[in-house]
Amino acid sequence: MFERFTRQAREVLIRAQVEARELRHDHIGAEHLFLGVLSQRDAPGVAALTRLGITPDGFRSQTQDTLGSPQVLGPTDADALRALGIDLNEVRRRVEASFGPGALDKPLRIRRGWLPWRRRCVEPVGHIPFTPRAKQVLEVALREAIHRKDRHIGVQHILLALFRVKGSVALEVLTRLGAEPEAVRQEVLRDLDQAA
Amino acid sequence: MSQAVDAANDATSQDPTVGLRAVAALRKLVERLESLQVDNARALGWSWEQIGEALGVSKQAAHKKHGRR
Repeated sequence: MFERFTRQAREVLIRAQVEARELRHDHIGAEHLFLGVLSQRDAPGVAALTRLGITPDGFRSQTQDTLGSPQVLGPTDADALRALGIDLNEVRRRVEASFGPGALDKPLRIRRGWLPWRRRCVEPVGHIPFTPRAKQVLEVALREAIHRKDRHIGVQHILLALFRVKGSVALEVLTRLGAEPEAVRQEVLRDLDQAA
Repeated sequence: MSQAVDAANDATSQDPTVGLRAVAALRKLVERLESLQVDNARALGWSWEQIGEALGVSKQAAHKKHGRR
C-alpha cells in the first residue's frame, strides 16, 4: 500500500513516528498523524490549517495536555479513572493536602535504570505500533484518493481521512483547540477544490 | 466529551478501549503515589527494608526501583 504514497505522505508517516517518540508515547495514533500532516506546510490543504491558527506547537501541547505523558495524569486519565469510580480531582486534593501543591503532577525525576523494562519507561525505543484507529485513517486515505480520482495518496488524503475517522484523539485535540472539526474540514476542502 | 465519559455512563460497557485505558490510568496513578510515599518514607528515615516490607516487596526490589532516582 505504501508504494502509492507520495514522498510528502511518506514524510507524514515518518514525522508521526518521530512525534510519538519525542512525546514518549507508546503508540502512533491519529494525533501523531495529524502532527505529521502539519509538518508538511506546503502540502495541499495544510495552508487551511495554518490559516485557522492550527500550528504544530499548539497541536502538540494540546495533545500532551489531553493524553498526558507516560508519567503525567491528563484529562483522558481522569475520564478513564472516573469509569472506575475514582475521582482524580479528589485524589489530587488529598495528595496535595499531604505533600503540597502540584505533588501529583510534578515531573518524576528521571530513573536512570539499567534494566531494559525500566529504560523503556523513560523512552520508548525501537518500533512504535500504529493504533487500530491510525491504521484505519490510512485505509480511509486510500479511499479518499480513489474518491477524488487521484492516482497517489497524498498529504491531503491523509488529512481528509483524519476528519472521517470519528472518535480519535486528533479530533478531540482539535475541538479542545477551539476548532470545530467539520468547519476545518470544509476549509480544507475549499482549498483543495480551488487548487484542482 | 470524551468516549470514556460516555462509556462510564453506560455501566454495562465492556468496551476494551475503556477498560484498558482505565487500567493504564490506574497504573500511572499507582506509580505516582508509590513514588511520593517512598520519597516521604526515605525523608523520614525509613530503611529500604521497612519500605519493602510495607510495599510487600523485598528491600532489594524497593531499592532497585526507587533508590536511583
